[in-house]
Amino acid sequence: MTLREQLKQALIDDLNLQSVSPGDIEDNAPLFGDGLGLDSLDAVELVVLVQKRFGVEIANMDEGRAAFASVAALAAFIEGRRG
Amino acid sequence: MRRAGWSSRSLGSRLQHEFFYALIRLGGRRAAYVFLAVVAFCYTLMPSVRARSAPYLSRRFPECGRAARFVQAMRLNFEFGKVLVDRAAAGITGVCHVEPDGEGRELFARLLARGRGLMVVTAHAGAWQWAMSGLDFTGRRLNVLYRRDPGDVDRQYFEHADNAAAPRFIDPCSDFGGVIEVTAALRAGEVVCAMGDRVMGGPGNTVRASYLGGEVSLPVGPFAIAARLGAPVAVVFAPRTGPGRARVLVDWHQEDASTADPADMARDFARSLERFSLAEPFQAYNFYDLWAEPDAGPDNAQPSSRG
Repeated sequence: MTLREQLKQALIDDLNLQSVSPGDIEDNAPLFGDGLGLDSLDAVELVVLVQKRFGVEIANMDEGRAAFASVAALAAFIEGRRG
Repeated sequence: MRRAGWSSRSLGSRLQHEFFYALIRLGGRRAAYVFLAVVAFCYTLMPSVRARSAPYLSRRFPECGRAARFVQAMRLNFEFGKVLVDRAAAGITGVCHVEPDGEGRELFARLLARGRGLMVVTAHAGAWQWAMSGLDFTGRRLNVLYRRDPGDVDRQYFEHADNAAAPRFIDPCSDFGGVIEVTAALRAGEVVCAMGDRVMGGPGNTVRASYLGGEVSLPVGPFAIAARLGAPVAVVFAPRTGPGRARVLVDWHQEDASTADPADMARDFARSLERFSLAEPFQAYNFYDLWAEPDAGPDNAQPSSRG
């Protein structure tokens, strides 16, 4: 399973996205607002999810803005932090 | 009725604020209080100023005549002005007394020992603006969710003194509502202070709660974040007890917010705020109509596929 596929499944599981399958989540679609439709409180879940499942910290708004733009952006962020 | 909308924009021009700062430097806070009494009276003569406190005063003191209402408005403005004077004096003179009682200190220590930080939820009441500095006894970094209007000219207490320890401010109107910074702070074991009586943005992530005989919208966010992280919550008020003096009182706390419903905690906060307003009616400082329908403006809650 690729990192992007892992992320999509993690989003579905941890955010309880019912009636959504990994295939429904586009790699480059926005996670917040349009696209997946997450809100600010979901950002808490995302920060915890990324740290718990992938061992990467997201510490501030700037990192969040870069990481949470899309699944593709989040995967790139995680890969970059892992080195 | 649509809410007229609160604004953090200061009442009074920059020149007027600077005059008070100079008065404090030259004559101390008591000199400022004397002049403040005159200013409070003059301001209260303005219908637009009385209109700001009317929603609260009419509910806190129903069935009052116009003369009594004027006196209440003037007293409320005067008491709020003293809080601002004390805040400035704390920074200018470095003298202020914030007294968390022994039980409060022990409670804070116990909650922080859980290693999940502490979400302190307070209100625009009492000496909140500078009394939160009294939380430095915890030895943990203080973060404050605070929005500063571009029109604000009044300074925070630490802006008067270069060496005053400043809390870290997190803008709740920034991307993700400051949630990422709040999450990071709590996970680092720090203290985060949020205003439980102020909705930022639209009506998403709010709950309707009873307050002084009506319904108000209150934010669920601080409680929801604490719940998700298993952090403790403490509802705290800091009533002003005299010139430059305040107490830090914990009204209630939740050791592990993940065991409670965030909406219920927000409603419990409303009950706390009501108790405070009944006990200290001239120390509740929301100068707008909390009971009006919230604006249907941009909000953080988007349609979700979640169940």
